[in-house]
Amino acid sequence: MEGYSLDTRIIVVTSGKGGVGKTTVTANISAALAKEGYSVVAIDADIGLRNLDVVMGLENRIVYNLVDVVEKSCRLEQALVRDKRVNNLYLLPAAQTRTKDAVSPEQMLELCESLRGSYDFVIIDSPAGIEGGFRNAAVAADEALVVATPEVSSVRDADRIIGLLESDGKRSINLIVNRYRPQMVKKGNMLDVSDVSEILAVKLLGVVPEDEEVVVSTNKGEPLSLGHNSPAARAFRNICHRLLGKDIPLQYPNENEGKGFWEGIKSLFRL
Amino acid sequence: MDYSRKVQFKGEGEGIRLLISEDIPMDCLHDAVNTALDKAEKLAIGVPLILDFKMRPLTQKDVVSFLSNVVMKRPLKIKEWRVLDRGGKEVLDRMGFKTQEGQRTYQGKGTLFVQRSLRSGNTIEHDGDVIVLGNVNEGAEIYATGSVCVWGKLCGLAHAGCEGDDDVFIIAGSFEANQVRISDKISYVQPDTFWTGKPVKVYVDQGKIVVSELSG
Repeated sequence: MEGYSLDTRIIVVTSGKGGVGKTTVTANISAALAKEGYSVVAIDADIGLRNLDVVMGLENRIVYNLVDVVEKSCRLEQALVRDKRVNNLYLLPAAQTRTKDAVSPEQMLELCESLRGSYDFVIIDSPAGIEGGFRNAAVAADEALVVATPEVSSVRDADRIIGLLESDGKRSINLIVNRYRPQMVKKGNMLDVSDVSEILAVKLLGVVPEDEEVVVSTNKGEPLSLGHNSPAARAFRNICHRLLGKDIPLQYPNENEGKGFWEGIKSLFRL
Repeated sequence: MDYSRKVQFKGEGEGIRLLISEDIPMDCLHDAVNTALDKAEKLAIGVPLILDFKMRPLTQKDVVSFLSNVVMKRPLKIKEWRVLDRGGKEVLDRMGFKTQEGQRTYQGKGTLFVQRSLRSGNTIEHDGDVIVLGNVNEGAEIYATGSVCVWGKLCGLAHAGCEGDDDVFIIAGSFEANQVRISDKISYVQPDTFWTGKPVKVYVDQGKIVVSELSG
């Protein structure tokens, strides 16, 4: 297999604001990277409010969790849940019965360092907010993926998070614009991608359109990037390729993307 | 060396402003200004003249010496003396010369250059003027005892003269803030006003915050 990095890339997925799609992005990017043949560990750092296991469809196979590992109640390998649908994809779930104070930044650093060298990617799903939970999630990361929706509140929070990541010395900070709705942008009811990108002034890695399939896949526990062909699935795969350094031109979702065939035809004739 | 080229004449109102560069060494000052006045011949004679020493720190001895060696040598009609250095202005005021009223003097406090954009959550507090070579995003804040100049977009909060100085201003390359503060005054800006997105200067006039568009 080609294109493998000798160094593990530790990437935190964060946003500041809640509900913008950090967990969905984490699950889909992790699955897409694993599908490309890379070994990936997805870590749910949202202790007390775990969700990544559900989105990845691995909730019934959890035995140990992140807190068990840092408290040395189990070995790291015992806590990693392997995804059977794709080789080399693992989940380190969060504890649901503990709070974010259960893990310190030093413990998180030690945990991530123990993964370094054994896997190609470690993708960390950060909790919302800028407090301890975010600090824990970001402390060991070399890179950051900031997820923002095209809303003023989300962009402002993303800006705050980027400022904190910059002051922490993260060398690579990339932006993903999620839940983009071209129809609303056209009507002037939603920020344009260029507006978001200009305000946040970091590299735009991809734009994920609003897509009903995301809700369906989340409920089913099947990340879209594992094989679907919806607009969001294609966007996640493109993001994955850009993350791997491939030169994929940025594609902005158009008005008809995500609509059915007849709806697309209707839009074409303005019916 | 001939420093007379560093003395410039500029028309201002009904008179002429004599701009005397700080680059001229003190021991060459009289010769430089005398030469410049001689070259100007009758242009400066009898016309209201503003002597502008810019940032030069003036002492009482310097002023007396300048009077006897330059001003008293020809029939000059001095309308006003100007100097940006606070100490120099105090000397001129104390000696009874007419200086520009309400002139903002340089306070000797450093200007803070911020060579990046300020993101949400960033706060700058500075005793003096602040110049931002970037944007001030929404949620970012600047508190300056002096003036605030933002080269890019001003979307966040700028508070100029935050210790009570009215004689300061805020300049923005693109004005998109929803609130500005000068001294103890606050102005709320409605979204999409006439000024939105334009280069502006915000200052206090007759006790109220006013905005004017900056033109070329």
